[in-house]
Amino acid sequence: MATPRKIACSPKIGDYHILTNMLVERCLGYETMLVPPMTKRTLELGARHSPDMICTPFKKIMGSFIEAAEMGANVFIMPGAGCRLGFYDVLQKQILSDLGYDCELFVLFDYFPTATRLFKALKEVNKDLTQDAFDTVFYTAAQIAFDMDSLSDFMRRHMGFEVTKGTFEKYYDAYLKEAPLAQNADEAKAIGLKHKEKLESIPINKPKKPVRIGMVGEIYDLVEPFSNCYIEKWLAEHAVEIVRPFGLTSMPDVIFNVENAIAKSGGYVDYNIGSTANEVIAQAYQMMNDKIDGIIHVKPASCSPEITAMAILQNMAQDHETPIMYLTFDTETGEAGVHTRLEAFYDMIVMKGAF
Amino acid sequence: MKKAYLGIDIGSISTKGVVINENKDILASSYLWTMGNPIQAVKNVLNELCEKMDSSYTVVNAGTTGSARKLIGVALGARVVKNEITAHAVGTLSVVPDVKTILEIGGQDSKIILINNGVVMDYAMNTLCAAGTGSFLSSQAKRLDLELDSFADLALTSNNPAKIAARCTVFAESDLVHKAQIGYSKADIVAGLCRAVVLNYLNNVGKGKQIKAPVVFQGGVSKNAAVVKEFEKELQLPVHVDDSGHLMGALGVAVLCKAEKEETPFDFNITEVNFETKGIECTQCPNNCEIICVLKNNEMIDAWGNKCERGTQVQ
Repeated sequence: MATPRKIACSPKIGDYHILTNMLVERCLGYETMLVPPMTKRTLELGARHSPDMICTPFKKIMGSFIEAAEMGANVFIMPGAGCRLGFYDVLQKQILSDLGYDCELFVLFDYFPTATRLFKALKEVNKDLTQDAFDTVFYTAAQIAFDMDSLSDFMRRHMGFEVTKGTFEKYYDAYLKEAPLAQNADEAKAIGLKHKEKLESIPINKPKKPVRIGMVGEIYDLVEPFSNCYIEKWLAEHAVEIVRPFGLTSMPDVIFNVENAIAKSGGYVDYNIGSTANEVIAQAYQMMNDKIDGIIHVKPASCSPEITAMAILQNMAQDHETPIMYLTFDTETGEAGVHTRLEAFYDMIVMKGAF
Repeated sequence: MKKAYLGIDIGSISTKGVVINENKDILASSYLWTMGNPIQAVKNVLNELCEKMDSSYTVVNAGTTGSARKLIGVALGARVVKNEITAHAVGTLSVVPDVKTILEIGGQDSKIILINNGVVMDYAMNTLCAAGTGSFLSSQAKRLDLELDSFADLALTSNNPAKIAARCTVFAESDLVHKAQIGYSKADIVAGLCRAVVLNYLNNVGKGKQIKAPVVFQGGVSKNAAVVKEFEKELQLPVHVDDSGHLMGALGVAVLCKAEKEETPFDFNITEVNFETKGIECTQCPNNCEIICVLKNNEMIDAWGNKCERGTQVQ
């Protein structure tokens, strides 16, 4: 019997799936597909087939994978590393197999996300992969990751003030479409620069002292808008400058540079509290010292590192007199409740009278 | 013509309405049960307000708050549609200008608002769980075959409140059954429940917040004297409950209406208009957006709930 065609897909975590799909296409020669857009059905499927007490991103990704399997995907890419995330793949494979899907889970890293380990993992599948060929793909993807993070950061800071609504999103989508066409890092860089100029040329009407709100928390709920009920979109519609330095390119620091994060937390934490939580504390401390107007902390239900971070943030917020709001997202979270709380938080900041 | 402003707070359990004049004095107020029909409840509130109000006043702006604020806001053509937290803070500040902490426990939600120098500094609202809210107390009262009114009186007679798990409604209920079966008196159990509500609130909603006097307690549960007493005991601070505490949300939107630069005169004849709502489930994709259409005399005036262009065809 002939081996079935390999069709790979990555979970949707913000827009970073374009990078992982690219790695697998170019290094393993697999065909790739996008997971279908997340809907209520995705959440229901995920919740039904996942352990109840597992963190919410698992359920959302599980639902996406089941929907992709229905459409013919048979290789699922997981990043590995991090917290419980590092163990997701084992369980995902078991659940998919119980549902009757014969599939592979491809894990990019076994705990430490380094280029060497990534090359090793890919080489195990494709014996013909050379170091040179891998390097070209890796540095292209890395360049795109840096550009995505810096362009989207620029967008978040300015999209609330665009003259024609929707321009930033439209331009950024155009970048996301073009970026994966790059064949090497130089091409990726050129595409990034071209779109940076385009984004910077969008007419905006930004006041001298706009409302600034910082976003910190667990990475999946921070970068995946469907997951956080489109908080950033809501804030932009209310002319808020969104400060969210966190992205994929922060992850190497999160894992290899914990000491640095601890050093930057103003004495609020003095040992490693796990996963992204150290970085969250350091970023919030920086934001408060920059006199940010308010901070929103997001986390999925049952995320233990972020629960630890919340207690520390509470003390920090009191000392700096900076309001902070905590939002927890589950597969059952209703948008109306989130928007009520966002509006109240926003009103509170605006009514303080500085604007 | 003397100007007046109307604020309506449509909550899960009750609907409140106030009319104020330019000095923020309450000219008329109304407080009725929502009974699952917010549109009818608002019509009843409006009829009552219209009767009580001095006819020399004209309502020049109307506003809504509470969980049905959007629906009623559209139906009435309200100028202000505001979340409950902002509305409660603004309303309370207009009555108790030096308030520092607002505790609020309603039918379905609970919140805490911290204020400094008349400005909201911080707030929190219950999230994933409705433990320790009014609906919990009323369902437990039913289980014990007690009227809500006699609930507090009975609780106040207890000298030995039963210890009841406060973290979760489900555990509290099994604990309550257990305490009853091992022989605690009804009074001790009821007092224990009131205490559980307070501890639950302070641990979940008030977690980590500095509660400073003057403390104002609002929402339906503030009418329960036993809960008030437990709050005072736990906080070691006097807890102030205003007779008109249940009107603060409605008062808040009325005050916000007054602050509006433009005016949209309001006609009480709206109670004779036929409003209908229709919930449609969009079937264009598996998201199945729930689209709400509001019809005024059989004509659609607004619709919401769809998340993409596909939904507009369904409407």
